[in-house]
Amino acid sequence: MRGWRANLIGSGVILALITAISTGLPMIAERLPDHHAVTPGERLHVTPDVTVLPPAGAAQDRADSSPRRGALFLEVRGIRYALRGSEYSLDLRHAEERLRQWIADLQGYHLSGRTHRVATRQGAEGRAGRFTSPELEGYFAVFVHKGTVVEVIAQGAGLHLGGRLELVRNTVLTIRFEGGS
Amino acid sequence: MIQRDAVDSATPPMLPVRPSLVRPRVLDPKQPALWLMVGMVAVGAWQLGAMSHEAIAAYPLPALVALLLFGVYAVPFVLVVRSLDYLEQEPTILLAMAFVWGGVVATSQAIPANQAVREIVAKLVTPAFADAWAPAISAPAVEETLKTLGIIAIVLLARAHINSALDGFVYGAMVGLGFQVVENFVYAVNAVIAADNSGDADWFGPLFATFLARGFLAGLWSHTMFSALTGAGIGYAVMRTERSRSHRIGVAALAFAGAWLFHFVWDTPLLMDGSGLGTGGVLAALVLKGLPGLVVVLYLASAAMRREIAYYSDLLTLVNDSRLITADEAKALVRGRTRLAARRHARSLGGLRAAVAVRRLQRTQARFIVELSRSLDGRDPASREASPKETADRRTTVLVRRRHEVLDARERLRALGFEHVNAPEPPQHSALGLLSIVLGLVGVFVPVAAVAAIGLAGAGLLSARRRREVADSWFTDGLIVGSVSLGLWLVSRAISAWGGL
Repeated sequence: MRGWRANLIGSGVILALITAISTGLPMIAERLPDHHAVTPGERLHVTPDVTVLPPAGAAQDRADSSPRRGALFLEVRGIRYALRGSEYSLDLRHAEERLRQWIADLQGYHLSGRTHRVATRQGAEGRAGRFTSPELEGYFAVFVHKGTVVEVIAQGAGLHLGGRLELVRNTVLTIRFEGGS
Repeated sequence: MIQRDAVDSATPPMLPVRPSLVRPRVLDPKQPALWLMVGMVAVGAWQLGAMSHEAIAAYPLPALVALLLFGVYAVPFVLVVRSLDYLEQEPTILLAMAFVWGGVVATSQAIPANQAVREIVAKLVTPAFADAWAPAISAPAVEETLKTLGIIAIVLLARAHINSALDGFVYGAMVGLGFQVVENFVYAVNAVIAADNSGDADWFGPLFATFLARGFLAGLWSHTMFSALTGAGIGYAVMRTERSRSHRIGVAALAFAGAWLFHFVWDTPLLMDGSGLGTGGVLAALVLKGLPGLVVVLYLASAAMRREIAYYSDLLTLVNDSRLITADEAKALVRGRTRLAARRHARSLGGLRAAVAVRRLQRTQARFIVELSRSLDGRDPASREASPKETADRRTTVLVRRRHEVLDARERLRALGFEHVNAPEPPQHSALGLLSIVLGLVGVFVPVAAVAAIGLAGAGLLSARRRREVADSWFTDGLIVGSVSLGLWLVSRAISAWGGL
């Protein structure tokens, strides 16, 4: 009986520790704030080789951002930015098509107007355009430089108001492919 | 025949090994630990299924190939672990449960926990820091703890089967192997998905590159090794009851800390860029980070084996019946290398049938000697409820049965013209043998040295074979070290060809 009780207690302790690890840690992670203010002037990594200068007052979503996975998420003045970078053997035309298709496939999203040429301050060539959803307006851009594709999607309510679109466009222009020309 | 007087008056030579008095029941449905194990495996399997079924459904063939590759990859590990445990073998069902705990329970719980730790580190520091350091922070703490809980569950499940630190080592290694196989499978499927997402239609390249990288470059010093170390500590704590509780807990904690440390060192991003030395630099970093742990674990395993060997060797001196075991046979039986040498010797004289007959005799002798050791140890944790007479009767019956098995195997050997098993004396180590090992180690950095090691060791082995002598075992070691070094180079080249290193 004593052995059985010790076995029961031991089993209970194991179960408690497993529960603490597999559910306790996610609970702690959940309770920490996702967004952290970005230091003004600090460039953030989209991938280890691609950086961007966030606008003043931006907050980074640290939970989902990961340079290794090529993901950077920002929020500023009600606009959410998602920047994705990946090594991909695509030319700009195909990269643009892929991004447009991806947006068009989202339920309720529509591409609006034609895309236009855009270039970063560094000189990397890209294409940019607009889209809408029932509640949000969005802006997208895509760049291909030295085998790296960078996609930017920014969306928020009233994007065209108060100079927000200009803010997004200016941010996109700060994308820099490190080590590239 | 066993010398009854000697047996009766004998004190067990030492107690690094404490076999249970009778062969204990493996699984007892009354034990809560069994139901904990069953429940956790069911929950873990469901969680793993929920996490991976979409990927497996989308990539069924790559998933199947990955499963086969890593399944086959596990076989030599199992064989090595089993050979360590030759004399007092652990029940297959318990080894399987240890493997399943590592592969199903530990992995399924580690995935959300590792993600959570990554998120915590990213939020508290930065995502870039989390990318680099979260694996080193989370994996040793989370994964080693979950695997250790599996070893403890095995102890709760079948305490009577943990009779030495080596037993703990074996169960730990099996838990770690289960984890390693499933983790590698997940990595391989993820590599295929990542390649597909990047527009690469070839799935076999990334899958095979993952197999080579995780199986060979990282495989020797991975979860199997970490958990074996922890298991040895737990085995020690369970078995050395003559030591104080704090001492035993301290040893187990030290073993866990060692596993944690080796895992941490392996997962740190330090040196992983090869320090600007290209493939050679990356390989040197891998060896530098992994080898110390492997050396420590192998040394501890060897020490535990030496203790077990000493225990059983002393015990074998009590048997004074050449029909059961001769002095030479006893000497050959306790070490893996001499067991194999005896079989090879028999094969060279009487062919495969003779080798098989020697193998059978050795197996029955091992069973007999374990049964004999049970009859000498007064402790019986597995049969507290049995009366002394019942226990003694059962013990005698089993011992008699084991004796008959040995005699039967002996008769089969005699029928082939062999009276006894002779293991030729191993020769003295030579300077050339040592040189082959050194060259093999240098081969990690300079592939030509690995080739030279293989050539020198091969020549030494062939020369001994021509002279019909037993070769210096250092030549075998040199051949293994040289082959591993050369293999690492070839594997890294193959991975580079697929753009993975």
